[in-house]
Amino acid sequence: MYDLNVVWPSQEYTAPTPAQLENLYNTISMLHSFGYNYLAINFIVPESVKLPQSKAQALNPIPMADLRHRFRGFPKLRLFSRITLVLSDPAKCQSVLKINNTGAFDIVAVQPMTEKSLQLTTANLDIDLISLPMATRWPFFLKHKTVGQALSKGIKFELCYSGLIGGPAGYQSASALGVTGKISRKQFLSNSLQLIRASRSQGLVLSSGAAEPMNVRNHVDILAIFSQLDLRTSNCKEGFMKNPEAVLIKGRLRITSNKQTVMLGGHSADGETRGSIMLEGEASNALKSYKRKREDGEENAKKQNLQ
Amino acid sequence: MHTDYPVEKHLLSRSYTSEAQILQILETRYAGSEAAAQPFLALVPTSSESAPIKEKTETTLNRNEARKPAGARKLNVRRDMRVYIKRTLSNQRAAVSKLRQCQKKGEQISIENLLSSFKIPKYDEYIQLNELWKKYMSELLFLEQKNPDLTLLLPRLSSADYNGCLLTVLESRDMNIIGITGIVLFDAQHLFIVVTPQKKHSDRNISAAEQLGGLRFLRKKGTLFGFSLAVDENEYIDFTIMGSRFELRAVDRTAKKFKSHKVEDIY
Repeated sequence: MYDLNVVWPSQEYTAPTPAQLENLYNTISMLHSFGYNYLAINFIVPESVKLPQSKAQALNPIPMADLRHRFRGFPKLRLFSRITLVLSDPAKCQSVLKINNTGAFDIVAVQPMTEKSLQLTTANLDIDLISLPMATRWPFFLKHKTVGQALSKGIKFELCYSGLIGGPAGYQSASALGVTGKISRKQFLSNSLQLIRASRSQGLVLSSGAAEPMNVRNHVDILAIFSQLDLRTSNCKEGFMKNPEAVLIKGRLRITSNKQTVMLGGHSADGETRGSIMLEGEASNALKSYKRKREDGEENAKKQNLQ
Repeated sequence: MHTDYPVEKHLLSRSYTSEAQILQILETRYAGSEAAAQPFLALVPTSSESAPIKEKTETTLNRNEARKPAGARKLNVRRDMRVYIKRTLSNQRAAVSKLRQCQKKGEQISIENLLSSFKIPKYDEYIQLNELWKKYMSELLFLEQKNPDLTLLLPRLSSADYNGCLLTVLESRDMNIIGITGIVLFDAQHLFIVVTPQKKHSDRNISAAEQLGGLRFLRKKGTLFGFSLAVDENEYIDFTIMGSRFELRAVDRTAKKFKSHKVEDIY
């Protein structure tokens, strides 16, 4: 199963504290023990933060190689990186295009705060995921037409259930939620009703948004809640399986292919599921050294195959 | 300023029957108007090249008649190809059934003889085509520099020609064609028509069709094709073609502007 939203502790380009990192490690291992094998570390960028666009290396603050090395003991666990750009001013969307070119992140997501920026993201931008803010009131009415337009381009919608469990200030007991917490929870329910209605239960990516190990939930529990919110039960598990996979593959193809026609690499075809061929290796590595050394006896092997 | 005005004459001949009247109109057409007084660039043929230009105008006037033979030739080529493919396929079916019968009876039969008697295309004959294609590809991609940028390389690949490419089916919705390797004979809109080699050694049982090789149709939809290109002697680059995005004729693909869509149909 997939979980495309494991929150990176820092919202800027400052390194997180060791305690925060420890928390992240625990969250990842907790998610893995719940059966989520494909995880994306989510780096949320508020609009005020300036991206270091000149240097492609500095764009991604998440030490993916370090994380992968740390979790090498779990062979099934796959880690990806994701960036979520908060957009309220449509004029500032130029940064998205530049991120696309570098291939620093596996997934590029956008959090539109206004109707204009939502329209722009669905119509023009080449991104993978739209993550609407679930805890605040939307200043617009979500139309099925807008959602359908995005879905036909392959952009999925994220339904992040952290607001349901943690509230705005992380995990607390229900009595300690406070007034704002209760309002945000109420807001979350009405927002998810809107999203489920506008998308007709299709193209939704369910994700945890877990900042702490305690925020992780089993997918069955989540689906039980969302079935009360009119999520169609016949294909609701797609939100954990098929749709996030499509998001990952689209992100990969955006980096390594020319508009999904010819992709770089992909001769090691022994994946167990369909589409897994496209998630082999790392995109950023694939871009750096795309040449393959001739393996010993390859020609012989080829000839034998042919005969 | 004296020319024949062939185009105008041709047009006027639709409205007027007498030659003299047309000539008169042609001579007096700008008289008295402002256009006659204005200087303009006259495209008068020079004396030496007058003859070929006249020929040219004649051909443009009679374009309708000139078009016919080219169209007919195109049709003929297409028809011949269709006939060839159909005949080869039916031959192949006959050869496979014959081989099966012989195997059932326990008779020994030479595959080489079968191939030549049924006129099944042999893989070895098409290796030359593959060499030509490799040369074309390396000229297309690595002529200017040995390590081209990916943003330069991939768009060229998506509008390149794949007749003669050695393809392998990596993944497909059609389980029967996974793993097939062959040289592309024709890049049709929805299919790659490939020539496959004869299989001789394998871990599992080889079917009669695999033993004979010959033509195979590979559906593009929902299939991933892999191919690799040699940069120099010991370095390769692997590529994967998304069949679902390649459902265009090669001619149309060169001019097509591709767009990203949802990816569910690719794999």
